Parts: sequence; C-alpha cells; structure tokens
Amino acid sequence: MSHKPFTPTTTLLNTASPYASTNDTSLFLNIGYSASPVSCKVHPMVVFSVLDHYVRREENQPRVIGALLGLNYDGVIEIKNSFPIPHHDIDENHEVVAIDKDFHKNMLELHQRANPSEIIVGWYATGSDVNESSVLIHDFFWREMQLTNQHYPPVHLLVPTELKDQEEMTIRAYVSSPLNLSQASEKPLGVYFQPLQFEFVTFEAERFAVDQLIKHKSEEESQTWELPSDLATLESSIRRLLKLITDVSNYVDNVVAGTTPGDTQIGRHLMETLALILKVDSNTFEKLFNSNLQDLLMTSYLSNITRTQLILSERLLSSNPILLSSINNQPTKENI
Amino acid sequence: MADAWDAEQIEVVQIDGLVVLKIIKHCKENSHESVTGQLLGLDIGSTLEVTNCFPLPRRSDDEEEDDGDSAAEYQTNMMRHLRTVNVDSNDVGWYISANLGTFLNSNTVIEQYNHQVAISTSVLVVYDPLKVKQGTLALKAYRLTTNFMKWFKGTSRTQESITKAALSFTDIFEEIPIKIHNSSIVNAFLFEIEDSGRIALDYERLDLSIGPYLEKNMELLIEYLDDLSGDQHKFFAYLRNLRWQQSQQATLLEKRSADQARKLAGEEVPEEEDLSQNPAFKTVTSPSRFESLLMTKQVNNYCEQLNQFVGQSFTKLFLLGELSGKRTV
Repeated sequence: MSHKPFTPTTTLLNTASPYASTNDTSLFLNIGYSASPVSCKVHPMVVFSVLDHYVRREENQPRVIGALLGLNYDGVIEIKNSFPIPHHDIDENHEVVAIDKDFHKNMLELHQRANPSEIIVGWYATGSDVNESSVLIHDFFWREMQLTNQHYPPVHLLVPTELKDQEEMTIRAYVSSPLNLSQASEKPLGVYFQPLQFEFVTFEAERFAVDQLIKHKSEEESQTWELPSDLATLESSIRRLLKLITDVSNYVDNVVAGTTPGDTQIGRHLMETLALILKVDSNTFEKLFNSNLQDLLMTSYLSNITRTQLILSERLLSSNPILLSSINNQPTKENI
Repeated sequence: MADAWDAEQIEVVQIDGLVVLKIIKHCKENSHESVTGQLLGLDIGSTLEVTNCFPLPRRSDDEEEDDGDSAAEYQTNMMRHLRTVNVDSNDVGWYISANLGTFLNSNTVIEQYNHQVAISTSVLVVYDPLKVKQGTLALKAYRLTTNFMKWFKGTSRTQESITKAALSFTDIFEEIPIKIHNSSIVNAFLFEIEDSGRIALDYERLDLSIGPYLEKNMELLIEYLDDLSGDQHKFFAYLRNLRWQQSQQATLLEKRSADQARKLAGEEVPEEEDLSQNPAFKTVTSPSRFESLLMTKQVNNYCEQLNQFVGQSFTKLFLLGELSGKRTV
C-alpha cells in the first residue's frame, strides 16, 4: 500500500484553538489510520445526483452535503451511489454545523435494504473549497464509518457549482489526515485534506447512456430529445467508423505524398490493425455469408408466421359460433 | 360517475438523465432477476416528468407474510425522507427490468392496474438490460389502455367476456414516447466529462455475431409457445365440452317437446325425468383466458424483437458483403 507523499502546497486547515498544543514546534504529518485510500473511481450517476440535489436546495443554502456509498477494493474506492442529507450552518463563521443524524441513519438503512452490498465510503459537498465546517462534517463521517468497522477514512468529494470565472468544472476528491504538532501530543493541530487521485468509471450500459446524454447536451430549446431508434444508432456508428477510416486514409495519403511527416509508431500501429483483418478466401466467405443469411431469413420467417398465427387464432376464437351461442343463450336452465 | 382513468391522457414521458442512469445501474446490478423500483416526479399537462427514482428492495421468499407491509413501509419512509430534501415525492409510476423483453406476467399487469386505479397518469417504464449489447437504450414507457382497464375491472376472465369487450392482445398496453431531459448544470458537467477522454466506443453494435442473441430469443419464444399451446388445449377441451353439452341439450329438449306432444295426443309417455340433474345441463365453467392473453402478447413481443434484430443484422451483413467486394444478390 503506497501513501501519497506530503506536498507542502496543499491546503492546511487550522480550526479553533483547543487543538493547539503548547511546547513542541516540530510538525508531523501523522497518517493515523491503518490504511488510506489510494485512488477513487466515481460513477457519473453520483455527480448527476449531487447536481440534482444542488438544484433543488433551499433558498438560502449556499451548499449541500450528502453521503457517498460504494465499495472499497483494498484501497481503491468505487463510489456508486449517494443520498442527500439536510444540514444547516448554524454559525456564521462556519464553526458549528447541524446535521440531521436520524435522517442519515434512516436513509442508510433504507438504501442498504435495496443495495445490500454498498457501504458508506465518504461524503460529498458542493462549493469550491474546503472550510472549517467541512472538518466537522468529515469528523462525523469518520466516526460513522468507524462504527461499521471500516479502517479506511472517509473520502470527501467536492463538486464546484459556481462556474463563474472558471473554465472547467473540476471535481476533486480528498482524504483527510490529522496534523500533529508532535508525536507525543494526542490532540491534532489541524486536519490536512489531501487530494486523492480520481477518475470516472462506468459500465457498458451506463457508458452508452452517458454517451447519448453527451451527444445531445447542446440541444438548446427545451433540452429534451427522443431516444433514437435502432436504425438511427446503427447509422451513426457506421458514419463514425467511416469518418475514422477517411481520416486515417487521408493521413496515409499525406505521408506518402510527403506533405506530412510520417510517424513510425503510428505506421506500425496501422500495420498491426490492418493485419487483424481476417483473410478469408472467397468460398469460405460465401459459405459463411450465406449460412448467416439463411439463419436470419429463417428466423424472420418463423417469427412472422407466429405473429400471423396469433392474430388468426384470436380472430377465430372471437367469432367461434359455439362461444357466441353460449354468450347469447346464457339462461339455458330456464328452458327446462 | 366516470372512472378516474378517463381523465386526460399523458402524451409524452419526460425522463431526467439522472433517472435513466439510476435505472440502468439498478437493473445492471441485478441482471439475473427482474427488479422493480418506484418513479417520482410530476405531471404537467400532457407531459409526465420523471425527476427521480429509487429501487425497491428485493422480496425474498421467506418474508411472504409481511411482504406487502414492509414494501409499503419502505416506500413511505423513502418518500418522506426524499421530501425533506425537496425531491418531488409524487408517485408517478414504477419501473421494471425485463431481460429480453420478458415482463408480461399477471403480477405486472395487476400491479400496473392498481397503480392506474390510484393515480390515473401512472406509467410503467421497462428497461431491457440485455439489449444494450446491440447498442440501443431499450427504455420504453407503457400504460394500460382504457379498454383493458374496463374489462379488468369486471371480475370475469372468460373468453366470452373478452369477446364481448372486443379486446385483443394488442390492446393491453399502449406505448408512450419518452424524451430525455437534463438541467443546465448537468449539461455543463457533460461538457466536462466529454473532454476527459472517455471516447464513446459504440462500435460494439457493429459486431456481426448473431448466434447468441438469436438463440436466447428463440429459446424464450419456444418456451412461451409451449405454455401457450398447453393453455389452448385446455381451452379446446372446454369448447368440446360445451359443444357436446349444447347438442345434448338440443336433443333432450326435442325429446321432451315430442313427449309433450304425444301426451296431448293421449299416448303413454315415460316419466318425465328431472332434466336439471342431467349432466347435459350442468354449467361448464369457462376457463380464465387472462394468462393466455398475456402469453400471446409476450410471444408477439418476442417476434417483434426478433424482426428488429434480424433487420439490423441484415444491414450489417450486406455492408460486410459489399465491403469485401462480393456480389451476393
């Protein structure tokens, strides 16, 4: 397990004085946990729900917080889910924060009934920096996680929502470690939020959905669009493939004509790719092609027959004379 | 008094990107079985906006007794909590995961019926996690038709009542188009992750292997057809019984009227037997056709899926044929 090296340029927090110790002047970075997260992987869905929570916040709340759920694979934390938690900044100086603990406990329980394998791995907040109240909240989550016998510290995900002058919306993840003034003192001087390497991961279906969302992200008017049909998506893939091939062939033409300097690595890569194309002789190819075609035709024929059969049988049943007469002659007993 | 579902209909279902991702995640994690969840949102005019959703816990077989209670309790708890964070806590429907389109059973229909009786604009969203390998997002919204609702409200499930209501298996569900919607800040986020280098690799759908999907689909089709034919046999047995009964009734009544005519003519006639005890007059119960209606619709679904898949595969196959320079026609 490798620990991240201490870099002096990261943010150092200093909370109120009860934490300061008196005599020693040397500073120790005390990584006080038995293990610390190495990196974290985030599913885009989590960010979506964070943003959704932010959009729905109360009028005077500058930021929102919530818990992160996920899995912990030996230091690599995968964040899969989240839920919001209502909170208030009681004090103006952000020194006192009220979190609804019951809410947290209940929501966690409800979530775990539906997703039994997910555990709390940290918490999120919107906004652009870490401040004193974050420390307190972080502490709260750390205690919660210790209750579940985890030896990993919580991960703090910070999602910027201001987007004023920034060009990008960089989401950051942090892990905290307490800062001690000396090894002897028990109370830490402050808490140091160390940035954690993080990346987005998705599984296949999610990636496809996110891709769809990305493609239509710039729809202006009502920001809605329809799900594309099968053929439309097929067409778009084929077009993309065609574009790729055109680009590559243009590049190769340019290199041959001498207008673009050739890069041996790219050339080798292209050669390898081309070598992957199966060389099938025409007979085998014909056979394969025809057998595939026949399979498809047969399936389509069978399914059409089945459908016709279903509709026919329904029509026949509904116009069956025995049934019709039984509908019309219900009270036969009275004829006796 | 008009039934609640005669009110104005929903034309479009607008789903948030967040909901789509949540549904995908939940169904993907439990892909071996069918799972359900609750949809939350708001209906505005003829558009149903779905803004959030949450999964419902799986029902294990041991907890049969308090099943209904615990599920309802879970729902109310969850919705109460979500309301405190300002999520729209209106129940607008539910979603179900359907492997290869298998979702039509009586439980589903009964559940949707209950939903629609309570809230007329309730929808059922069906997500097929296995279809994503073909490169499509198989998300569909359904609603029970008013015709079907009226028939279902009555307790009779016989073929006679189906014929009277002029109900066909195509009339059970009707599909509502789906639109996807995102708020602006989410759009900003999407711009961000697009640049983060995750290329949209959607070339998997150009894959030519048709075997596994066709096989699975055909297997399911055959299974359901078997069930359907078993049901049909039962029904034909009933029809045969009915026909025999009708002919018996006809002959017995004829005999009786002939006897009465002879009596009037003063001839000796045998004692009139109590015809109501005669087996020919026992009412034959008409079997329930509900299951078979659903099975028919399911088989129809499979056939449509097959057709769609075959269409796509044809395109890919011919494309390959052209690329390799083979003249195949």
